Parts: sequence; structure tokens; C-alpha cells
Amino acid sequence: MHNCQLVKLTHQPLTPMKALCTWLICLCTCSVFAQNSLPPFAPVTEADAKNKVCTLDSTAEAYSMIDYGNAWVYEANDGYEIAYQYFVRTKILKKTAYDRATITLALHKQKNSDGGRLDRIEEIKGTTYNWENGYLATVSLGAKDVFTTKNESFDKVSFTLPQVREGSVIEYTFTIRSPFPFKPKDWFFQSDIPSLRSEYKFSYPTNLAYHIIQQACEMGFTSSNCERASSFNSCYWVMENIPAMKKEDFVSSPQDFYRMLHFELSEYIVKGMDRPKTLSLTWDDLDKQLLEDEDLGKSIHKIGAFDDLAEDFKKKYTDTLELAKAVYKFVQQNFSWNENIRLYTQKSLKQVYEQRQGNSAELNLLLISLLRQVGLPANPVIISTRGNGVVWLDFPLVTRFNYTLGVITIKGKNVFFDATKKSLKWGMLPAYCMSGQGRVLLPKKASKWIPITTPEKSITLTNIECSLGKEEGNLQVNAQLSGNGYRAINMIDKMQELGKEKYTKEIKSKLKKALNPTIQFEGFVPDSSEAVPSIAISMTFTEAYNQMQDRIYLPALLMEGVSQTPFPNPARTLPVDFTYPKDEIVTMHYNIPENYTVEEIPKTIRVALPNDGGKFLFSANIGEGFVSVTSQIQFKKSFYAVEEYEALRKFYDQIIAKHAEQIILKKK
Amino acid sequence: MKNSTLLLLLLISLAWRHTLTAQNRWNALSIPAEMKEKAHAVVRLDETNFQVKGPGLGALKRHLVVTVLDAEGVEHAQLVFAYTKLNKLIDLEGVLYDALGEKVRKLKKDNIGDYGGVQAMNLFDDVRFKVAEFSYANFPFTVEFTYELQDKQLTSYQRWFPHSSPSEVSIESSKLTIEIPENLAPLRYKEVNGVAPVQNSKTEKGNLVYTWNVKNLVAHEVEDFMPKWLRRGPGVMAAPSVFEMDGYKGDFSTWQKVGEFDNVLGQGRDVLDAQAIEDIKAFTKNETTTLGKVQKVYEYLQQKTRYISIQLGIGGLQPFPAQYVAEKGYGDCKALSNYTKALLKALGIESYYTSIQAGANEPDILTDFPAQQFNHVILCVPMKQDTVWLECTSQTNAFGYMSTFTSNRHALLATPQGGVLVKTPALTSKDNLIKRNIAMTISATGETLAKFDIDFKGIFHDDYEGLMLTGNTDEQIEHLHKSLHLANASFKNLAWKQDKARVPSLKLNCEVNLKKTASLSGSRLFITPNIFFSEDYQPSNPNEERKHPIELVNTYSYQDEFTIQLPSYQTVEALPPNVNITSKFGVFKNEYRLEAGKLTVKRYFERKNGLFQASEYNEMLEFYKKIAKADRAQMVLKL
Repeated sequence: MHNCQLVKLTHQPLTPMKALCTWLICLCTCSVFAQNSLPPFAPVTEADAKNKVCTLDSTAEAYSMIDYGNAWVYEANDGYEIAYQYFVRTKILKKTAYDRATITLALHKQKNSDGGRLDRIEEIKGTTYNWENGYLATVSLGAKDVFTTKNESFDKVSFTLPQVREGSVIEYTFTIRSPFPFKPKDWFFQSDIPSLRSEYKFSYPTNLAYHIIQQACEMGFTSSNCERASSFNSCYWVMENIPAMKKEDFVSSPQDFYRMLHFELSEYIVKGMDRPKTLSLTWDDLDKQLLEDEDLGKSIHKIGAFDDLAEDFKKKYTDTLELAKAVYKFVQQNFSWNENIRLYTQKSLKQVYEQRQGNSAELNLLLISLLRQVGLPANPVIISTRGNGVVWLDFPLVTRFNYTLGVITIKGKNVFFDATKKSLKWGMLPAYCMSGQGRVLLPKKASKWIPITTPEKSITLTNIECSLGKEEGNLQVNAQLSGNGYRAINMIDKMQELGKEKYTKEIKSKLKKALNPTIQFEGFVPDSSEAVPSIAISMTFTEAYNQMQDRIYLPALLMEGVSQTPFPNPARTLPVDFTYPKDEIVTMHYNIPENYTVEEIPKTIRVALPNDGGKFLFSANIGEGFVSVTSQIQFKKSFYAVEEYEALRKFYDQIIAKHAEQIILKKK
Repeated sequence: MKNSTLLLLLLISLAWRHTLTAQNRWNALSIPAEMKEKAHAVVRLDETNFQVKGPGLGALKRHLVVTVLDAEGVEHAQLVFAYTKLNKLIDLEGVLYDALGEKVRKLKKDNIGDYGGVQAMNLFDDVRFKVAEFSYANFPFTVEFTYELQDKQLTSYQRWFPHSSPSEVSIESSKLTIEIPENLAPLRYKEVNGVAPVQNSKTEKGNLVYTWNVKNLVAHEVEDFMPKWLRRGPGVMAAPSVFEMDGYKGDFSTWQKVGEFDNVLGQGRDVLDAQAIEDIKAFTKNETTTLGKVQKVYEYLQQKTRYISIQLGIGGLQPFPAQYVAEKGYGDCKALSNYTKALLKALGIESYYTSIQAGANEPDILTDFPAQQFNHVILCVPMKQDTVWLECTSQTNAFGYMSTFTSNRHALLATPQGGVLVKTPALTSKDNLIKRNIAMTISATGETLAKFDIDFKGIFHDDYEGLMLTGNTDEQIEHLHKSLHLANASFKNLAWKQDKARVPSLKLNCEVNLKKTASLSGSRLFITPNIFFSEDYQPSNPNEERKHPIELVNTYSYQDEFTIQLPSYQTVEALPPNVNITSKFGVFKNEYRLEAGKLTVKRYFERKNGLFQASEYNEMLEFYKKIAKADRAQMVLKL
């Protein structure tokens, strides 16, 4: 979770529109304001054009010199519009950056009964600067070089700057006018190349109010200000010397870490209104809004058709936990999910019950209704799923949430539930719901934040038994791969997705040295939370070991050993997110032939991650006629801070080294 | 209910069902089991009817019926086709049937998407796509589509390969019919990959009709190393002789004429203004030889231009004028090749606009079938000694280098006398070469430090050039261990040196910590001298008998020398034996020498290319097995 500041926008009293003439005058004034001209940017200099490297980052293929945006909301056509004016100046250092000179834009369209509304683009201009033969040569983008392709929901506008070479400075500007001012476009200060200066302006009439949220802006601004001038509120922010954002693995929502600004209309007052209309301000307001929404809080109600069943359940299960589990199973087994992830219902729960099908919110709110019907206190929890972007805790915005699940308190503990996937056990949530925190909606201002937890993790178990085969180098192998918790769910999902044949093929493709593998699947019961899926493989593994004179060198781990590190990069800027805690256990059992003794086995090792982050245990033992090896890799957390990265790297180094060790047998 | 009424209703329902069954041609149950076995969809019927009405006008009718067996097959139930201003959609209809073949609903306008600007590689083109699909989840179900297009794009007739997705789809019946008026007959066509020969007939009006049928093609896996041309499956290629398009007239019946059309399209487009001519003359003025001038022109091209693709109408075949490229600094393969030709022309050097089917995975064209079989244009500069080939779309390619993109295949030169078919040079195993000089020091605990001195040449240079060009050391470090096939290594002090010779090479020097690549087990140290993963080919279908010939496309070689400074030891328990393998597939040599605590390994591996018979597959597997075993050989020291 990272910081997010609410801009202390002095809540300006809204100016209600008084007389029609005043309104008209304002319109005229607005039109004048509507033509914002670009500020005078410093011209491109000889030094700019000749420069060969980015001072912020010597490896950069390009850098942004000026990244300017100016958005203003104005009255037009019976409502409001917003204009976005952009000016971009980028230095191209390497040929790999040539693509940055080609711009593709999507202009949003919305069809409705009276024709429709769409974004329009105007004033597209572009220039390329090159230092050539002792002077600064410029070439302009031709009007004919801007192409538009029409589509139903958006128009595509594309153009490319001319004469772009290593060292070119490219510049382009355009203005988009949009009839959708309620969610102004985000502004990103940071991108995948370094930026020398990023500046954004935002202004709007004083009868409107916007929430402006800053994400990842702890570094602060070079300058920023908000003020009121006549009937407009104007703000600006300037950031300088911004490093490029790096792409890293194990990050659920990279967009959460970019420095950016987000805007939402929060209040407005127009002619004919005596009070401003609020769209959302405090958490209490948001809670109330959602609780009273027909498609969320107010959708929860008694389902008449369930009455008889409710009585049956209450009679049969006297223990609250068992009762809850029974109702959960009932919904899980009898209702199917239409694969839509939603915060709100799209039809009444009565209809959902009748049709036996629904979106994620519908199924979970239905389950909440039925739990309440049997007398259990279940409540809705709203979250933003993994990858959807984190919820700004300091900042109430309905639009940041995209999912409703449920929670019930049993014997003092919170248990979360989600009825979409049939393979989930009670208390388990789909991986995409493991998003850190959720907001439980309770009446009478009791709503609050609760951490999303599930006792489940991913457990992978591999048991391998080997005997020496007839041919040198071959092993007769019986292996069993099974999973629990999230691992089980992944295996079952995979079976559903690929089908038995493709799944078998995939397994075989990873066992290239196996001759005639027979693969059996057990326990892959779809739609059952009791399933413990397991794959039994029987095969002859060729080239499995080396034999030199009278010694045999067996690999400590024949399969499922870690041989490549997931963290090759020594540097890391973002925390590591594994989604859920993991346990990977491999046990090997080698049957030793009678005419051989065990000369050496790997030594036992115990490695712990700091902050109780997990452990690696490895041990080998000699038994009567066999050698056994056990490897356990355990990650107790799903989330590891950047400071723990180096420890994770070293952790894997030790695992890889140990997994590569050998067992040595000697002929008697 | 009364018994008699009940009986009546029963009889009616039986009769009704009988009538329906007779009409249920698309009943999914009637598909034979072997067709469904490995397939996710079955094409019940696919009829393409191409009617040539005149040299510049044609009509395409298609009738497609596909049964979708499961969720994997849904993509095959989607009808997608492209059209431009030169095609006009006359009609598009569809019907959805359930598992028993009963009609569920008709295709509505809402189910038809029309998309433009979809092809991401083009800045702009005038190609639009129609996408028609039904949303249905009760498997199996069947979709039927019919559509008709008016076609004014007659530079090619048909490229019909009904079973091009063999691993997911079975074909019950697929048919191609081409109709051509007598004055344009006979149709020029080529039957490929064992398709049943044509059936000839005539219409009432005297038009000639050519029909090909394929039936009951079962879904199957594509075999490894399957010859490229075989992968398409049975099919037919048909091409025009005389044709008209967008106001141009041409004739494709001979290669000479195909090249001639390039000349027609390019006429007057190789003109540069005085400033451009003066610029190139000034840029090349210090070169005295023709080769020197050509190289300088290529340097000029690479500095000043980049690849941008804009395809409009006949512009798909016609280059933008050279002056356009001079002014904008960009163009596609046609425009850039034509521009380079114009630059050379200004210096009095002759060159040919050359059409080629480019791509590492593309088969060579059918040389006995003159037609538009090309997807790319390069430039050929004939010289007394070595002809120079120029890839004009690359700003980084070495001068004259033909990588796997365009090497070893036929190309059509548009000479002043028309088209001439030639073959581009092939890369040898000396061209595609890796030389790895690795000096390692292993401690008593197995820690291995190494100095790498690796020279990548030819295709290996191509593999690493992109990484080097990023100039981003972090990124390089992140990818190097994967691309060099090292389990666990960290790199530092990376130094790259590129030599842009005719066959370019790239040198990498770095220090590498291989961690515990040498494995210490108790008091024994296990060293695998070849730290890299071996040339380890494992077949995808090891237990199935091979059906098709084997095509090994590239030939390449490794010249390795690994020297390992060993820690002090008591005895050498195991030393890998020297290996020497010669086969039709290549050569492999491993030579070990232990001297004064230092192990030196000289390794040579050469993989030949060529076409081999299916029966030689096991021999190939043996070859690879022996090499893998030799590369895995370990030295064991008792410390």
C-alpha cells in the first residue's frame, strides 16, 4: 500500500447561475476562454539537437524534454465539454526509439438514440529538428500525413513525424475536445523513458468541483498551485527530472506505482438547482450511497422461493459454521457464473435465483441474502481486484472498486466468501480477489476497512520413486504430482481450460527424456471444493544419471528442482508480489540396487528468510536399501518489500545450488 | 388428457421430428469419431467459388459450415475476412444450429463487426475486416456463413489451402471452384502437396470451370522439422495471366512479365530533385570504387530513413516516389528499395528492384509458377565480382548481409528487360558460427568464476544484436543468462564489439559469476565442463512414428574452448572421454586434456542442413542423444 495525498482543495463555494443573461454572458466568456493558446516554450537549441546522451539515465533510448498538458472544462451545447491540449517534445537518441515518432490516438465515440457524442481532434501540428551541416534544420508534419480510420466505438487517428533520425528532436501538439467531462483523463508524469519536465494544468468553472488525486507523488513538485480567477478554478503542477519506470516481474498492478494525477467530478450546481449535487465525498457518503443503491446494498432481500429450503437448512444444521457452509455450497453448486466481474447487479436477485446464473456481484449478494435468510450475519465487501489498481485509502471513489464479495463473522472471526468458482473451498477467495484490503458495508455508519485474508495458500506436493532401469542411465520412475489450496484450484482450472488431451500433452512436453510415460489424472472433480487433484506419472526416464566406472551419480532431485532464478536482475524498485503464500515440497525415494552402497549424500541445509518470510529445508537420508531426499521451499507471505529483495535472491541461489547436488553410489 | 388426443399428439410430434431430422444436415452427432478425436472444430463444408468475369473483375462466393466441439474451437467459428475499396461486400448471412442441427437463430447486424486500422504494422491502410460470430455456449454447435464479394483486385486469383490449421481442425469437405471465361482461359494453376487433381467442366455459356475437392482430412499435430512447404497441407494456387487493376494492365504468365509489371508500376518514380542528387553526390564523393559508393549510399539510407508502412489500393504493389522518401525520411520496403535505386541511379550505378518471399519460416516460392508470390522487396546491385544485396528497411543491418529473413531463396529481379529469377546467397556453417572461449576458475567449494570471450556470427549475431542495441546493461544482464542457457549466473563488465562485415559478428566480453555451477557433494566436486545447455533436441512426439520428411533449414557450428583452473584435489575419479561423432546430420568432437591442475576442453559441433527422409529420423535422434550425453559428461574430483 502506498501513499496517496488528497489535494487540499479549498472547497470553493459554488456560484449558482442567476439570470439567463448572466448565463449567456458567461457562455461568451467561456468561448473566449475555450481557446487556450500554448505557452511560449523555449525554442529547440543547437545543444538540444547535438546532445547524444540523457543526463538522467545514460542507457535511455530517448527522453522527454517537454511533456505539457492543459485541460479545461467549459460550457458548450447544453452542457459541459472538456478540452485537452497537449504539447510533447522528445529527444530521440537511438534507432530503437524511432517508434516514439509514430502517434496513434483513439477518439472515443458513444452512440445513443439522438445520434451520439464523440471526441474531436484539432490543430494537429508536428515538427522534427535535426542538426545538419552546421545548422538546425526543421521539417513539418504535413496535413495529408495525418490519417483517420473510422470504427464504431472509436476513431483511430495516426501520424508519424518526418525525417526522424538518431539525435532528432521531435515535437507535436494537438487538442482533443470531448463531451465527456465527468472523468477527465489521467495525467502521467512518469513513463518508460526519463522526463526532464512534465507540466499539467487543469481549470474548470467554479460551479463545478473536482477531486484531484495524486499517486506516487511523494517526491513532491517543482512547483504547483491552485487558485481562483474570476469564474474559474485553475491548478497547475510541474515535476522535473523524473526517472523512467522500469518493468519488473511479480508486480500485480504496475500502474499503481506511476506518478500520476487522477480527476473526478465531485460536485456541481447549475441553473435551476438550489443546492449543489454531490457525487461523492467522504467514506460515509460512499458507504451510504452503495448501501442504498438498488444494484448493491438494496438488492439484498428475502428470496421467497428459498423459504422452504431455508427452514430445512436451519433444522439440519444447528452449528453456525456448518449452516453457513451448507448455504455456501448450495449456491456454489446450483448457480453458475457468467464470467462477468462486477461491482453491481444487473438484474434483481429474484431473477438471478430463477435463472440460476449471474455475474460476480449477483451471486455474492444472493448468497448474502440467503445467509441472512437463515439468520446469519453476512455483509457485502467491496474491493478492487488485483491488476485493477489499488484503492486510494485516503480518497473515497466508487470508480476504484470493481467487485463485491461477502464476509461473515463466525465465532469472532471474519470469513470471506465468493460464490463464483465452484472449486473454491469455504473461506477461500479466487486469486484475483486477494487485493489486500476491502471495505465491508455496514448500516449506521459502521462500515470499515478490513484486511482480505484467507487461510489458504498454494501447496505443491511431488513424490517421486525411482529404481535403476535396465539400460545405463535409465531410471524407472513413478511420480505423483498433487496440489492443495490454490495449487489445486490452478490444476483443476487448467484441466477445464485445456481438456485432458492437451493437459497430457503439456505434461509430456516437459518430460522430454521420458519414454512411454503413462499419465493418469485423479481427483480432478470439476465444480467440487473437496477435490484433491493428483497426476500420476509412470515412465522410464532416460539419461537420468551418469555412470563412471564403478560409481553412479544420481541427481538429488530428478524433477521439479529449481534450476533458474526468477530474480536475475540485481536491482529492484518495486515490492515483490507472489499473490499468495506458497509451499513447494518434493520428496525423492531412490531404491538402491543390492550390489551398490551409498557413498555420499547431500548435506542437510536450513535457510530462513528474514522477517519470518519463509524457509528452505533440504535433507537426505540413507535407509535400508534406499535413499530419500526432501526439499521444502516455503514462502509465508505473499508480499515482500523491496528491502527484502536481496535476501530473496540469495535464497534462490542457495536453493539452486542445493538442488544441483548429487547422490553417489559405489559398487560393492 | 384423453388417450386418443395423446396418441394424436404423439404421432404429430413423431412426424414433426422426422421432418426435422431429414433437414438436420448439420447434426453434430453424424460426424465420424476419428474426425472429432483430436479436433476442436470440424469444417463440415467450405466451398469457395471464384468467378473471373473479366481481366479486372471477379466475384468470390463462400459457403462455410463449421461445427464447434468445445471452447477451444470457438475461434474457428468466427468468420473473418478482409476487404478494401476494390472489393465490395454484396451479401453476408449466417445461421446458428444447435447440436442436433436445429436452427437456433440467424446472424444479426449486431453480430457483425466492421473494423479498420487493425493491422498494427501499418501506420495506415485501407483494409477493413468483417468479423461475424455467434455467441453460444452449448457445445457442440454449428455455424453457417455465406458471403459474396465483388473483387477488382485481380493481381492474384486464389491461394487455397483448406487445412492450414491441422492441429485443431478436421475437414469433412472443402471445395474450390474457379470459373473463367474462354477468352481468358486456360486457367494457370499449381496443385500442391498431393491435392487430388482438378475436375474440368464447362458452363452453359461456355465458361471453363475447374474444381478441386478435399475430403475427410483428420486433425493432426504438425511434426517437428516438417518441410516448410508441406506444412500448408494440400492446396491449389491459381494466378491470372492477363489482368487489370486500378487502371493498370498487366500479364503474369511468365516471370519476365511479372517483373515487367514492377517496371510499369515504378515508372517515373525513381526521380529525385536536384537537392537530393547533390546531397548523395556530396556524401559519396570520397569513394573511388563502385563498391565503395554503394556502401556509402547504404550508409546514407540507414542514417536518413526509417520503415513506415502505408498501404493504399494498388499501393500495396506500387512504391511511393523516391522524392517522397527523400522529403519524409520514411517509407515501406517498396519505397525504400526504390529510393535506394534512385540514389544509385544518380551516381550512374545500376540496381534492380527485387521481389522476394521473406521470413525465416517461409518456404521458397514455386519457381515454375509465375505469379505474385512475394511479400517483400529488396535491392540487388549487380557487380562484376560479388553481387550486393541490400535490405533497405533496416537501419542497422550490415552492408550486403542477407540474414535468414531473405537468404537462400529465389527472388525476382525487375531488370530493364523484365523479370529474371535468381537465388539469394545462403549462409554456411562458417557464417553461422559461435566461438566461445571461456576461462573458468573453480574453488574448493564449487564457486565458479569465469571470463567470457564469445564471438557470435551470422544467425547468432542476429540473435544478440537486439539485446546489444538496447544499450541497457540491466536488461542485458537479465536476458543474457536465459539466452546463453546458464542456470544461475551474474554478469558484470559487459563489453560488446560489433563487426559489420558482410556476415556480421558480435563479440561479448564479460566477467561471470557462475555461483555453484560446479557441485560440491561431500568431499567430491562435480564439474560439467560444458556449462551451457547442450544442443539437446527432444522430439515432441517421441512415441509416434514419423510420417514426413525432415527439413533442417540452417547450418551452423560451434568452436568452443573451455579452460578450467581446478582447485587442489587428491584424485580425479572421473574424466570425460574424448568423443568423435560423424553423421550425415553433422559432426561433433569433444577433446579433454588435463595438465597441471588445468582442464582444457576443445569442442566442435557442426550441424548440417538439408532434406532428409522420414526413415532417417531415428538416426537423427541418436545423433542428438550422443551429443547431449557427451555434453553432460562430468569430471569428478576427490578433494
